[in-house]
Parts: sequence; structure tokens; C-alpha cells
Amino acid sequence: MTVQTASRESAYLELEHIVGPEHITSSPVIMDSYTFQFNADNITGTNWGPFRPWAVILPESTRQVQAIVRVCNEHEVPFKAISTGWAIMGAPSCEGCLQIDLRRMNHIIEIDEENMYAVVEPYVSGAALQAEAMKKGLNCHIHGAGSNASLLANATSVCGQGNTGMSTSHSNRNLLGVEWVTPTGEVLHLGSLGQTGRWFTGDGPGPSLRGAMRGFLGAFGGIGVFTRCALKLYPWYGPREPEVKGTTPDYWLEGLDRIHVFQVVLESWDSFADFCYKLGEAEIAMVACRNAPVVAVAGVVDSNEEFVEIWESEYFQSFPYALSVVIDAGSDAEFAHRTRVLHDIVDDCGGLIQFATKTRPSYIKYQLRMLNWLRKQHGTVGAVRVLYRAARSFGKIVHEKGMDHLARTMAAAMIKAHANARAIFRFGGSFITTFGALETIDAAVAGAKRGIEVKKPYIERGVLMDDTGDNAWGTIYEQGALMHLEEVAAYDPSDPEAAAGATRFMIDAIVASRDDHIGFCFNGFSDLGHGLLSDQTSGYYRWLAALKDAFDPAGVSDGGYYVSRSEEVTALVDGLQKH
Amino acid sequence: MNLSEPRVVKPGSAAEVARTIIDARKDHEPVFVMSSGKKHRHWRGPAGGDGLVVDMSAMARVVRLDRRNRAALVEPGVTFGTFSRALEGKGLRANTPLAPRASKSVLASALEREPVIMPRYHWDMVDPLMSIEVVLGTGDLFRAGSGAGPGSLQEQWASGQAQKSPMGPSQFDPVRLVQGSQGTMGVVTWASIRVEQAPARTDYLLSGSEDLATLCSLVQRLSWRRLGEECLILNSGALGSLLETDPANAAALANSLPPWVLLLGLAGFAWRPDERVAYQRAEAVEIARALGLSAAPSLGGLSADRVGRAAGATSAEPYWKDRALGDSDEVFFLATLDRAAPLISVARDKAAEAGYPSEQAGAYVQPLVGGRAAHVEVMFPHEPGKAPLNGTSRSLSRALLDAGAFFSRPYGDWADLVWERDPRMKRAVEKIKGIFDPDGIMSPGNLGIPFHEYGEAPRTTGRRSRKARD
Repeated sequence: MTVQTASRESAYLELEHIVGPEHITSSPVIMDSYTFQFNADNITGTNWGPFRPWAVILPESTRQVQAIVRVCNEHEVPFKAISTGWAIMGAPSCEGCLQIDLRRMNHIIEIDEENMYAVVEPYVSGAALQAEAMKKGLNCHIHGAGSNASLLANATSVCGQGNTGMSTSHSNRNLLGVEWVTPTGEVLHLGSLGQTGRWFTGDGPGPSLRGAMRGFLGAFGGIGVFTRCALKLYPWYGPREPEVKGTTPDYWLEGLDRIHVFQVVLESWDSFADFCYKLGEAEIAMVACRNAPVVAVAGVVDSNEEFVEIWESEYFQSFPYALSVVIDAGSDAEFAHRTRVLHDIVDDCGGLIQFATKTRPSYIKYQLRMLNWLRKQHGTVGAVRVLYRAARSFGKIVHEKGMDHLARTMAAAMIKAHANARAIFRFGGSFITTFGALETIDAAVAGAKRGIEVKKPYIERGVLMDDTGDNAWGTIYEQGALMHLEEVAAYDPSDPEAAAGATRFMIDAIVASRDDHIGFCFNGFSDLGHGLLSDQTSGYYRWLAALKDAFDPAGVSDGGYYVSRSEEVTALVDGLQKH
Repeated sequence: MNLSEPRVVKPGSAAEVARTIIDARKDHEPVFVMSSGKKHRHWRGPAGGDGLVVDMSAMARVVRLDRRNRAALVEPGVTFGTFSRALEGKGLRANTPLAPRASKSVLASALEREPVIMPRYHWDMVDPLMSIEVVLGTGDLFRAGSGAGPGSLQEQWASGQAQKSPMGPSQFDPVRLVQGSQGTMGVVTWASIRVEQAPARTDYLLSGSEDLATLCSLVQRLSWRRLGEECLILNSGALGSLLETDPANAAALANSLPPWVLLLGLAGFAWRPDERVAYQRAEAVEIARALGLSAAPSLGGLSADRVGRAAGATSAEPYWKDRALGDSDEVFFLATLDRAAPLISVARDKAAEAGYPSEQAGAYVQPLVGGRAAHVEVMFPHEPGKAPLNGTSRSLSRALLDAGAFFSRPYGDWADLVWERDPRMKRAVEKIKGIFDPDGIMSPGNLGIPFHEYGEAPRTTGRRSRKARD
């Protein structure tokens, strides 16, 4: 055991008393594993974050979490909760921090089938809840981090964008009742939970404290620990226990009779936006997700060698304005209606269906349209060359697996959210993401266009992977009410120049999204983000810092990825103004 | 001059509101807000005339309507009457409360989290409120939601934004902290409101039942199938009052109906509207049949279209809740749909114990958040000036709380009851209040937070104190 002071030693003993000696450690090798997080390289240039935890503790209940937080207050020990973890924001951002690992709190407390919500603990993954919910004809929103990540963490503390947002909204807006151990160790029951013991709403009485616990972004552990929450569930019209077939990395679900995927391609960003608006208003889609060509290819290949072969054909890059649309239906009549309407809208927007589950879009009009677009981009000879190369590379996969296989694995990837991370990590081992404001469809497209411009110089310098500049991933939410497109950049984290370049790209992107007023970007957290954005965003920084002061007077809930306390913010802002 | 009348100011801009609040803060003068110039049913103003009323009715512009993004930006003085006229012909419609007063402020209604009649578009309790601009109790002007920026409104519009998200800025949601606060945090000077596309066709169905629980089950099944736009349940008495201004006609209509009636609107939009309505209608009818119910375009002699039109329109005067006997008290709360019937029984039984004829009580169940929760309301019509529950409303509310009702909008006495049950939440709300209104001048007495809990006691001899000035 490594302790620096008598108080620390005393704190350790008290913490050990709470959870038992088998659930707390300060062994250096274990501590290192907690700071080994992706994006650590953006800060340190290595795979390890800047601060190893002082100790790691594994509570099993809210009561234990509360007791731990109280000990931290008493001994001025900073603490940081982590559940499944995703990127450096889950690790400590300060020296001497206690990492509260919530992996023992892994229960689905309740699935209320009639009222369509579930109550979960922090270590319940998207896959775990989804499997149980589907047995009851229900589904949950799974965020882009993937089905292996914590649902509670995304809903209470992180972001929340996800493939099925068209029909399942965003993690922020899926939250109902919440149990919150505040930084001082008080347990708050938000919404109906406090008065009735039931979880069906998280707002009130009076103002909703959901507004204090997170925003567009979560506090990344900077405002206490969330120990249980209720999440909305949505109708699932597929089989109650869908059979998962295939082998890694290609999985598909059997029995999706009325759940089909359609890969729709438009000719320009403008027609892409028009299609998105019309699709939203038609209210027919379960999923409307945009993958840039680079990720679309990564999603259909089994190896990086296959990726290179297809990528060099330039086929997919010729159709960048694509949207993966999943249609679900609760009846045959609804499915027929929705499919017909989709085709109507595709035609109305001058688009084409590249492939689809169970139906082969061999429509001559689509083929002719595709050839025409290729000819416009590459000339007649160039178009033939692209097609020839595509036939040799992509055609080989289609021949081996069948076009229907590609569509059905895509459908599974969208619904189960298991492929996003695989697709983006495979290139260089890490990625960074920027832009991504959650606003209108038009604003999302504006951000995607600007993201390409910001990224290209970094590609030319060889710092970021050459993905043509366009790697805007995102989805539509709530039948067209909102959309986000985030500009993703893959790089090699073992290359210090690439890691530093990725960080500079992120800062350039924050500045571009700010100066072009295209929405509040993904990276607008921590003092760095606030310092760059607050002045042009209604001066929110000081209000957020005041919130931190009010709920965390001792400053023990590690706020390195959240906000500093007011006095430090004032000093930071003064410093920025001087420079 | 009548000393009991508070001073009233009518600002014309956010800057004027800010100056007013800053002055009031200097003088430690309580400030109360009135959006459309009319007193809200649960509005609690200055006690004893001491304080300032900020009447926002002069700020009454529909600043922007955005058809493509289905968004409207309105000032506080915009009423449902003017708003519905503004939306006409624009291909948009509002998700409104049930037959709101024409004079009711759209912004105030959203700020108070009033229930809306189309639960399928109610994704979250914050809806249909999106972004806001607010003058906080400190006098600071602040924007929240995606409308906070970066950039001014004009700069955001230029990049295609429409202040569509209530989230943020950054790592908190101040919209949620201001909403539901009963004016205790600040004065909202504009809000963006989520509006929906106007349908190309709407078919309405009615389903009647002796048993509310069965109708609630029907709503749950319809919600799972995502069927329906307008979706609500009224008892026959409340439905009679909604449709007929004359009490005798309302009573006659109520007597011709089953005790409980569900309204369901089915809409088709730009793409194959008839086809959409046809399959949805066939399925809704089948789902009702499976529960032993019928769902049809009429119920007895009552046309579903008539109910649908009345539900989505502003109420004619007198206000529909007041029609039976001239005035009405109500108790409302949130519950899950399966708890609506037993909780309404608790309210009626307690009212009966107090001598109120329970058959006279109206009842309204409004599914929210896609059917995951419901606003449940019991109305007690009474003659003006008479207390219908003989002073037992507090015990009635307590009984409801004990039975599992959630008073999410704790007006008046309800606030004390809910804070008594969960004092930790009150302390947490007070922390927020301490940030946005450190001197406690905003709407003291509302939300169960009296003036004296913040800062100094009110100065009755302040520079702008009415009594001193007069």
C-alpha cells in the first residue's frame, strides 16, 4: 500500500472498512490499468493518462458509494467514478484521486413493460439491457460508444448520440428517475423517485435537477456519482429472442421480417439534407445513420487488406452522401406503407438505393443514376475504371458473402451498435472526434462540410489518416427534430506527432465551429473547451463553475473534464484575457 | 390610492427587463412575473401589495417561424390565440395543452410544464420547450439550450440552426433549471418552441368505457404501437364541459356518454396520407377490440371530429373547466397510466368525505412522454367564491401523495407537502436558487420558498417601495 500522509492512511482504512479489503487496492500495476485509456495520448503523448489513481475501490451499493464519498470529503481525497470506461475522461485528472469502479453494480433492477422503462445500475451495458428488453418486445437507445458500454454512464455523465436516435432519441432525453450521490455524499432521488419510489419521470418537483447533473455533455464524473437510473424503452417489433448468427466481425440477426435496411445515396449535401428532412417528416424510419465512405467500407470488410483493396477502387468515395435507413414496422400493412414511402422520397430527392435487405434494388433507374454520377465525377473512362476496380475488390466480397449478407450485417450493426467502434479503431488504433453539435439537419450538414476543410491540412501533413477529409458520422433524432454529424479523425496514437496533431486538429475544430457559429461542438467541456467557447456562448462558464461550487464545496469530485471551481475559473479567464 | 395594489411595469425588451431586475435587486424588492397580462390559475403574486409585477404582455412577438425545422421563437406575451393564428397556413401546428385559454401565454405554459395533448411528440418532460433567453435574478441576461450559441440568434440562423435543442450549453441544462421554477429563478424573455407539421388528413376516433383502467391499458397498447397523435381520456362530465358552453347542454351530453372517453387522432402527412391513416385506423380498432372496446368515429351521437377539434383549439369563454358552475378547483399530479384510476378514486373519495358530490368531479388523464407517464387531473367545479372541499384540499393532496401521486408542479400548499416528504430535494433546489437569484427577490413565496430564506429580509422602506413612495 502506498500512502503519503497519515490522513491518507486513515482514509484508506476507512474505505477498506466500507467495502472489505478484497474490494480496494492501491497496487501500482492495477493503478496503471486504470489510466491506460484511449485519447490519453492527446494529453501525455503516451497510452497512459497523466495521473495514476491513488487507489481503486469497488462498491456494490448506493449506500457504500455514499459512505465512500463522505470519507473523501472528510479527508479531502478527490474521487472519480468509472463504470465501463471510454477514453481518458474516465480516468483521474488529478494527483491522489480515488477511482470508484462501479463494476460490481451491474444489475438490471426492473423492466416495467407496460410503462416502457427500465431501471439499471452503472455497469449494465447496452447489450445486456437490450437482450432483456427484446424479450418483452422492447428496445433501448444505445449510444455510439457501442453496446458494451454503460447505459447509465452515457445517460447521466457523458454524451448519448446513437444509431437509432431517429426512433430512440438521445441518451440525455431518455433519462427518467435518477439516483445521484452528490459530491458531498447526499443521495438525491430526482423526479418521481423521491416522492413515490417509482422511476417514471426524472423532472421535478419544481425545477428539474436533471439540468444540474448534465447538459448536452455530461460532467464526466465531476459532479458526484450516479448509482441507478431509469431509461426509456421503445417498441421492438422483431423477434423476442433474435438468433445471432455469424462469426466475428460479421454478425446478423435472424427473423427481422419487418425490419429492413436500405442504403440510400444522394447526389449532394443539399439533396442529402432534403432527404433527411423528408424522411423525418414521413415518420417511417427506426434508424437514419450517416457513415462516411471510409467507415462504410470498414464496416463491410474483415481485414485492413480488404479495406485497402476496396478503398483504392474509389467506388465508395464516389457516393459519399449516403444514409443507412432501417425501417421497422409492427404490421405488414405498416411495413408496406413505410417501404413505399421510402421509395417515394428517394425518387423525390433524386437519390438511389444502393442495396437493401431481402430486396435487390436492381431498378434500372438506380443503376443508370449511379452510372451517371460516376461519369460526372470521373469521366466515362474513369467511371469504367472505378467500376472495374470495384468489381474486382468489392465484387469479390459480394460474390463470397452476397449483397444480402452486407445488408443484414449492417442492420444488425445499426440495431446492436456493435460495429461503430470496430470500424473506427481499426485504422490506426485511435481516433478523435469534433464538431457534432446537436441541432438542425442543415446545421449538422454545415458542420460536416466545415469539418472536412479543417481536417484536410492535417491529412496533407500526414498527421491524420487520409479519409478524404470526410468522416462525418451521425444520426437523425426524433424523426427529424435534431441531427448531429461529428467529424471523426483516425490516427496512430503510438506516433507522438500524430497524437499532438490530433489534439491541434481538435482545437482548430472547436475554434472553427465557434467562429462559424455552427453549433456547440462535442469538445466543449473542461476548462479548455469552456475557455474557447464560453465568451461566444452566453458566458456560461461562470454559471457552470457556480454550480460546481454549490454542489461540491470541497472540490473533491474530480472536475478536470468538467469545470474548475469559481475562483480558479476567474483566474483562468483573467489569464486568457491577458494573452 | 389603493396601497394593496402592487406596482406593475411592462418592459418592451430584454434590456428593460434586466434594468428592472437590477434595480429591484438593489432595492431588495420582490419581483413577480406575469406573461400575458392575465393571472395564471396558480399564479401567486405579491402578498399585501409589496413587490413589483413585471407584466410581459408588451413583448408579444412571434419572432420567427421555421417550417423546415418545425420551430417557433416566441416572446412571453404571445398567447395561444395569436400563436394558432400565426401557424395557420404555414404547415405547422402546436402541441398544446387541452383547449387552453386563448389568452394564455404559450411561453408560460411551456415553462410550467403543462401537459400537451400529443404524447407521441412529447419525447421528454421538457418538451415542447427548447431554448430560452432569461434575465436571471442577478440581473444577468443568459441564453440556454442550443440557442446559447456560439453566436447571436442571427448568426445561428445563418448557419441553419433553429434553437432546436433544450440541451446545454456544455455540461448543464439551465433550461430545465428555469422550467418548473414558478418564476423563482428569473424572467424568460423568449423561448423557442417545438412545433409539429400540420397533417394532410386527420381521422379521430372515440372509445368509451365504464372502466378507466381499461382505457388506460388501451393507451399503453397504442403507445407501444406508436399509433395516434392526439391521445387523451376525459370523464363524461369534463368532456361535456369541453364541448358545451351551456351547463345544461354539457350535463345532457355527459349523461349520454359512458363514464370515460378516449380521444385518438390519427394523422397522415405529405407522403401517402390516406394509406397511413387507413392502416393505423384498422390497427387501432383491432387493439381496442382485443380489450373489449370499440374505437369509432362517433360515440353515441357524439362525433369524434368535434372532440378532436375542441381539444386542439383554444377554449371559448367561459373557460371549459369553469363552465359547469362558474369556477373550478383542481388537483393534478403525475403517475403512470396504470395508477391513474386508483389515484382518481382516492381524490374522489376524499372529496366525498368532505361533502363534495363526487359525481360532479371532472377528470382528465393525459398520457405524456409517449405513454410512459400521465398527467392526472381531478376537477371540482363549484360556484364562484365557495370552497368546494371545505378546507380539506391539503388532506386530499396528502392522501394522494401517500397513494403514489407525484406532484411535479408543486403550486401553493403542495410545495410544503412535497418538500416535507423529500427535504433533500428542497435543499438542492435552494442551491440552484442561490446561484441564479442570490438575493431571493424572484417570486418569493412560490415553490414553497419564502422571501426571507435568502439574503436580508424585505425592505419595506426601500427606494422603490410602494408604501414609502406613496
